[in-house]
Amino acid sequence: MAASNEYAKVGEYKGIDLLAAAAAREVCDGDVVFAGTGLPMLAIGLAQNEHAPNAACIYEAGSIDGRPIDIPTSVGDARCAYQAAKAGGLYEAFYGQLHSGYVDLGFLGGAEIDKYGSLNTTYVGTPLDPKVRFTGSGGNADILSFAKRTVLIMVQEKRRFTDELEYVTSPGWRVRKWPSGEYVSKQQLYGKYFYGGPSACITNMAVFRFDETGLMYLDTVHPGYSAEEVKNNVDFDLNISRCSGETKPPTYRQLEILYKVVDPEGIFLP
Amino acid sequence: MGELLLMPAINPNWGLVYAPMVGSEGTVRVLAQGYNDQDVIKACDKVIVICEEIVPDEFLRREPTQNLATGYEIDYIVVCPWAAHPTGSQYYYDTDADFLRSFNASTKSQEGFDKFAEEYIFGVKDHYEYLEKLGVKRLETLRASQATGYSSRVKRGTR
Repeated sequence: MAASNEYAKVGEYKGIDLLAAAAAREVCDGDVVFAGTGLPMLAIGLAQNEHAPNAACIYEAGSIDGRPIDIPTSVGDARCAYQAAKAGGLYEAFYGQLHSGYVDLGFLGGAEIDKYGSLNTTYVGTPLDPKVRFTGSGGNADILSFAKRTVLIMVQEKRRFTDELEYVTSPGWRVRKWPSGEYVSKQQLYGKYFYGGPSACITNMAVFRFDETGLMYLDTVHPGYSAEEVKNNVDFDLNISRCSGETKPPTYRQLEILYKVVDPEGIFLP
Repeated sequence: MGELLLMPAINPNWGLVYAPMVGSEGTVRVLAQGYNDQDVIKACDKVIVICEEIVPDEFLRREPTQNLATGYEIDYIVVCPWAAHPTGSQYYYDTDADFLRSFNASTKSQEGFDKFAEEYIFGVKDHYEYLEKLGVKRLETLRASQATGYSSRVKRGTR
């Protein structure tokens, strides 16, 4: 690779490149990763080609530790299963891997997120006649429940970063106990099946993390945005006092890997 | 810990499953991405399996670990080449992304869907007329490599 490890400058990369680089940084070498289509595939591809060559990937349709040579476009794509260690089916992916505690990292998206990292991907409105019915839960509830760390990829909008979810599809660090309604920690609810929870939330404006009490705080702001702007796009009282600066952009080498190795056909990248 | 809900299992009357290969005695084989088809087969009262081809059962029985279901678990077999189109079938053909994209874009309204249904479902005499509508070039481009299980000829992105 000829390209250098210097950070690219604003204007030399697109928004999706920054998201892919930020998400790839969350992958540790040797992680067992449970991912969906799109940005997670770019992130994992980038991570495996850089600092995490031993990361293993699981896709929902059942490919366990597949080694695709061409980027898949869906979790059921034949490309996911190329050179897989096991083609196990849906139950293997969920019960045999996630519930059994093997998954280190999950990538998820959602329609709504709250201050404890809980997600709504099911509906808004009334249950039997919803205003909008989203595509969840799918694997969302299982992944957020049982992955040791989960990176949530969201669009930064005030109506999405809400104080109270209309429906809790997937539990974050704290959820309301039923029927009393008081917040309890996921650890209390899950007991010996508590393996971890959301570790980061990456949006088109910023990167958030969760503190010791499970509360979301602002970690870094993407180039071109300010902490105030981010705070104005969150409907709960966001802690911006721990903001450590700007999100690092992709390096030239990372851009080369993304465009030449991971997605040369231009499926997710422009 | 709170209340736990015990949900009754779903047992549909009919199960509709796709498997590329079914044996002459009904043994079912899916290549790799099995989802939870084997449980769908067990949970449904009656099962129809749509397949690309019927092969000698003896062939499938050489590797029993590769098989998804036995013949007595299913009830009907329908042979229908390219049945999975516009989705894909490993080692047979790749997903037709163009078709899916155009389907998605044009069927957001009821009128849009009715137009699609008239063109591709009700307006074609049979399955083969549907395939003829897609044409040889399209189908050949989608045809999977026996090495990788998918097609390297199909244009998937913008580059």
